[in-house]
Amino acid sequence: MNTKEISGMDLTVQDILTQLFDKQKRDYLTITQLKKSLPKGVERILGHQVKKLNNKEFIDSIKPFLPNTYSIQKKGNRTYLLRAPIQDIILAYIAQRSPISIRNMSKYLPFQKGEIADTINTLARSGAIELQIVAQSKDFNVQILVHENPDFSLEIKKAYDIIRRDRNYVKIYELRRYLKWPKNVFDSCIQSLWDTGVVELQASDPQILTEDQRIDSYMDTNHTLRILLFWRGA
Amino acid sequence: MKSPRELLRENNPFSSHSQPDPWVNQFPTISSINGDAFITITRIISYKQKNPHDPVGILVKGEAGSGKTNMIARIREYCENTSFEVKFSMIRPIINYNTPIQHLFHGIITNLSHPLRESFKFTQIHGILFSMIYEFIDQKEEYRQAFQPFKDNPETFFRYFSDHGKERNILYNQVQSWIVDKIPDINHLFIKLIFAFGDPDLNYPARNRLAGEVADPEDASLLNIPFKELSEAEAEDEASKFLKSLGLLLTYLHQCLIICFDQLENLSTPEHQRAFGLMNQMIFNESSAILPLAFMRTLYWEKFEENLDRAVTDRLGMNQVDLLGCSQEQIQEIITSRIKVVFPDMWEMLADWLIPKVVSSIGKYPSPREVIRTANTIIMMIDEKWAEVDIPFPSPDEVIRSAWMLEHDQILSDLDSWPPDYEQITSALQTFLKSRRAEYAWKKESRKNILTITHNSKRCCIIINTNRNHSAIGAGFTRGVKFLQNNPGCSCLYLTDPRCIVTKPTWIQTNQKREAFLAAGGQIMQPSEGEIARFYALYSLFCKITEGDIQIETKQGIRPITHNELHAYVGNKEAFRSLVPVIPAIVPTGEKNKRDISKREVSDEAVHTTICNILYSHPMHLMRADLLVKSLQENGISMTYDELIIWCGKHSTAYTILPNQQGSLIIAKGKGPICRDSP
Repeated sequence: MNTKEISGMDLTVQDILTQLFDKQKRDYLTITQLKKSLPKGVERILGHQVKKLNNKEFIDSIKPFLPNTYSIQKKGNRTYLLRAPIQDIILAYIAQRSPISIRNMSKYLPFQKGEIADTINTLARSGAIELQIVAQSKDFNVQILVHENPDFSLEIKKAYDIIRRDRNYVKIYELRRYLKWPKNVFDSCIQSLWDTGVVELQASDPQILTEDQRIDSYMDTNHTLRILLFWRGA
Repeated sequence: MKSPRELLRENNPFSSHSQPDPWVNQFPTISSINGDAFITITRIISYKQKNPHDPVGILVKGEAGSGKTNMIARIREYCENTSFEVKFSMIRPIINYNTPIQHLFHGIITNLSHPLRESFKFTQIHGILFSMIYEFIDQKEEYRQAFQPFKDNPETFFRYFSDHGKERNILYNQVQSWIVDKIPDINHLFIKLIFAFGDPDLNYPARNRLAGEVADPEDASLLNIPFKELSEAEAEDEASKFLKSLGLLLTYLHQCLIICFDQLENLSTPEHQRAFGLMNQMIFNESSAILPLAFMRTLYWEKFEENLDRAVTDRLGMNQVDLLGCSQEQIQEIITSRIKVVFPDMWEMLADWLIPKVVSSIGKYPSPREVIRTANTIIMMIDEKWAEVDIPFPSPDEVIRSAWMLEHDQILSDLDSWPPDYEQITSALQTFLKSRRAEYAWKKESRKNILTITHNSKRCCIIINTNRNHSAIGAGFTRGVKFLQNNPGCSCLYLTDPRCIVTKPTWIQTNQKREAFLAAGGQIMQPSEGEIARFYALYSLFCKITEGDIQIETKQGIRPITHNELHAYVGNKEAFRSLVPVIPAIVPTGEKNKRDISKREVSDEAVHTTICNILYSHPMHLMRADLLVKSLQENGISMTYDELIIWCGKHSTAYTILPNQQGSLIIAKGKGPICRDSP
């Protein structure tokens, strides 16, 4: 489909922010960067002149328009707007730069050390990344690696066979909960398996699911909630 | 020269994406779609034919639009290709859960007595009868020679014997005695009714009696069977005996019967689900040569099996088949086959234009419905820069209106699939009253339903009955009289199907009760076929919405239409005409007869010739039904829209009825002669 130009006309705040983040090729922006980059049209939606607002006032005015996945994060003197969960941002960052040392990563990403440590441990446990201890002259360092072509397909198939028992399908929320992978990793994996014809994703009836089960299913690009996964094995 | 989009938009083969009815062939079957599932099903059917006593079942799971109803239609086609050696039936969701076996057997008889070809009212029951006669004659050397001309042509056999009643009766009596001798456990009444069905004069009462309707002593005497009014328990017991006998007969003839249970999502209460369990227990434990297939959405089955007897879930679930999405080749086949039906001469150019656009905008393994919906979206877009133009999403009212029109016309074109059913009429009326926010009470009484509507302290009682039994009808009138006496100033309607008799001259007591009912201010409402089709269409639409089968595209994605949206549509007086007249308006009871007389004035051949002349002077030989009605009038043939749909439905080998945004399209298939209604 066509890409709408940023004009502020007929676009939601979410549309505008998505295009801004995409343009900057980043998943986080400081509030100051954000204020500078926002198009004029956004002021009509917020009801304020952005330049006249201080950071706190700006955050307060934009907060009601932010989607669930967005959050505000502080590091040092700077305040950031993140467009995805921390885990997803870190994994995407590592994937682009692998191998990367934990020290470098910590320096550039807008997260506290504790948050980074927790996330890295979770990612390592899930198998999404691998940690390597590297001996240095005075000390040790930790390198983080993401396999260039990790065989997610194999992992998903293994989980699929365990969960499905005597059925020919699994419920996507069960698969997601079993694998416990970061959301964007799981989503991009099943999307890629679907695109290549390895799996078929079916919509089914969302009304039968609980709210949590719906959240853990998969929303496709046409906004159809996919609930069942069949292994077609192309 | 019009662009491909303009041509397709004018006569859009993709405007409807649901298979209307397994007995209706709108578009050719694409054998590769869910081909593996179909092969599995036919393998099990063959197994059942060879092992009639093995209690096997099949569970077919598929999401909305995955082709469940299409698979049922395909199974019917498969049965047809076996010359109905494998018998076909489809059972709608049960409403009265207290009578599961009657519901089951009624559904079986509805399908077994559905005309198979328009040339002659040949049915699957005729097929059973012919098989018995064939077996009998095969053992009698002296008859073999005389039977030779009919050997491979049962239709010619029945046509011939319809004019030779005496010989037929002698033959039938001999075969009947012979089969009872061969199958000692068979129910004698059942076998007698099967033979009576093969007599054109007794066909109608025999069919009704098989379906569980005890008419009156006159019909019983015609059929030469004892007359007895049955209690609910007795009727249930009789249906069980008939079902077992049917199984015994099919086993003896090395045939089998497929029972497709569709729209099971409508069995919303544990009682309804248990009733479904009881039907299957009866099939598995006490019948032979009967193979049940349950069609259901995947996740519903997981919920459903919790309420079913383990033996039933094990046997139904032992053969599970999942319906899957389409490959790229299948996407192309769907598009090509639909375009070919409407544009037989220029399909290639249109398919070449449409296929790449659909393929590039659809995900992997789409369901057949997703393919059709995407094709429709592309056709409906404003111009060639379709990717940049947002088409407005349809409103729920638009989606429901289109589904409603499709449902109504399809039912009207094949009313044989919708025999008179007071439970379905009641259910439709309840949906209607709920939508109009009318305050009403529902009461189930023996063989009838009572709805009492209260409006501005006035009450109206509607007695709904489709039983053709004199005492049931008389009891309805008595009930009405009582209501009118106890509620002075209030009104009462007796509502029935146009195919049901209200009374016979010989029913003296019933006539007296009818007179008393009319004298007390009661009204008899017997709508026309077009009007009664509205009741069944509303009931059917409600079931489809429960099933999640009517979907709407919204900004947030595709979702099922809800019951509340249906109520809003039906509740809108401008969008949906009332099912019942404004009480106490005068009910036009005589109108139906007038139309019947006018219809008889023009022969079928004359109508066929005129329709052909009109359609063949039009591009693609098709026309919107409402415009065709006008053209017919200009050519001296007066027909209403409903009558045209009924007529084309009865001559389905000559005409196809296709749903369209503005109502149905009529397509001429060929200029060949049509066949007469009766032999």
